[in-house]
Amino acid sequence: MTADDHELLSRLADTVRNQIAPAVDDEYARTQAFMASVILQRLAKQSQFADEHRAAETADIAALADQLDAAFAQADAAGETEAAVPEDLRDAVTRMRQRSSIAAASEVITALYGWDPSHPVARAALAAVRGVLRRDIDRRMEIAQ
Amino acid sequence: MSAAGAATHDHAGLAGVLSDYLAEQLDAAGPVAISGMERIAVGWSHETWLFEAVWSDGADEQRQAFCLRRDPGNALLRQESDLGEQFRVLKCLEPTEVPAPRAYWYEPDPEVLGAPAIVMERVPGECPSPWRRAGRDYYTAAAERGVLPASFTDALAAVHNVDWRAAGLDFLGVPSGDSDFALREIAKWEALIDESGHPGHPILADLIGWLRHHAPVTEQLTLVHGAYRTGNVLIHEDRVSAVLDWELQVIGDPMYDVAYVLTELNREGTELLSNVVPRGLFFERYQQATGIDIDLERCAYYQLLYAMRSAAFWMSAAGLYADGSNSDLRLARTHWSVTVALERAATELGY
Repeated sequence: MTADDHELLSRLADTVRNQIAPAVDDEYARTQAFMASVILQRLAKQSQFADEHRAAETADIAALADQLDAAFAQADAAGETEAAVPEDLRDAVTRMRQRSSIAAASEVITALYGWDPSHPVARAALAAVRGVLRRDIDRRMEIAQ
Repeated sequence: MSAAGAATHDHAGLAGVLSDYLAEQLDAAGPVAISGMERIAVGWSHETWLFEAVWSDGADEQRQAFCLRRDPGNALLRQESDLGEQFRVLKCLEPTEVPAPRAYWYEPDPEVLGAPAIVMERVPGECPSPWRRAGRDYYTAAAERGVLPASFTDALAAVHNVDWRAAGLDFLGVPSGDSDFALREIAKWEALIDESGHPGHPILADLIGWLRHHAPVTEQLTLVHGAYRTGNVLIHEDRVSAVLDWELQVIGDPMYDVAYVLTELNREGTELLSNVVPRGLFFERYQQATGIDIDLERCAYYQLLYAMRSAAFWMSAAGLYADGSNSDLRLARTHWSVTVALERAATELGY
């Protein structure tokens, strides 16, 4: 969506809230109209922040994938892991990088818990993922609140 | 608009079919007059209707207030909240100390009352919403009078003191021991998430992984209400006259309910647990009444499980609107409530 879309949605939300909803006599329908206004406002914010959030997400995922690959390589080189970093975890990181999507971090997390979440390498990896997820949920909260 | 699967009948239509239904159930000598039909608490799960019936038993005029719950088939938690199970639970609770409505009839055939339904006793009392200022003021005033906090605590103790095997409640499913209870709950809410069609979020994967990895051993099994708070109990003369919303009950860890009482989610701007009970009073009275020690570590675990449950609720709700099953825009709005639930989970997981 474009900046114009955002402004249009925002104006629609205002119209529904301030002009349409108050004119509705039926309580259920009036509440629904106010809900429609809230939803339009959320969509307006989603549209407003879409490009900015997408860029931040792409940068965060790329940096996270670099960080995890480096950590795994370091663990391999040092031979300090009792068990090698599992292949499914490495593959999950590769797919996350390729998809460049925060959603793909779910697979990384599942692989981390499937390995051994108390292992030092896994713990550090989970902390790194959580840092990215924190930033992501903070961005989403800009829209949700 | 009538969404797919939604219950049918307006006030007058429902009164008509109820009259026919009750005439048969009550073995009335003549028609049953239905009056005062009122739909209350435009809820997110089942429809709830109150009404009064007047009939003749052949000798005298009889009059009774009833409550009807109908399952429209397109409401939140429809998968977890079968009216047949609710009816069975209420029948099992009748001989116990738990204040609960007496259930009279369960009608599974949607053709009869427009949807599967239970007809039950209308218990006197009110149920102020703790999410509204008026409700919170009501509970604050009741807390100052002192009777309701004790009664609220006692009613939960009564739930946990039920001899659930003797009451026949083992049909709810009995966890096998160790961490089985927590793992069952996780699996239940994960299934709801999967069914919702919501894309999910990695925080949820983290939360589920953490919950599985830290699932506590359940040392004692009791009947668990699953949503025990103000707003889900009926209050009459400052006492709990009925525990309502038997939709999420399980046999499980009593700390699951205690955690729900302790959580900050169920109170707003007050230290009173569930808006009504001083913490010290709750701990002392609950432990004395049940002989169960409150385990704060397990409660903290269950609060994270509630974060998962909240996310599952909202995903399911948003999915109902998204797939066209339900046209209520309140459900559509919950798409963004998922984000709020996940943010809380992230904070509680320490990030």
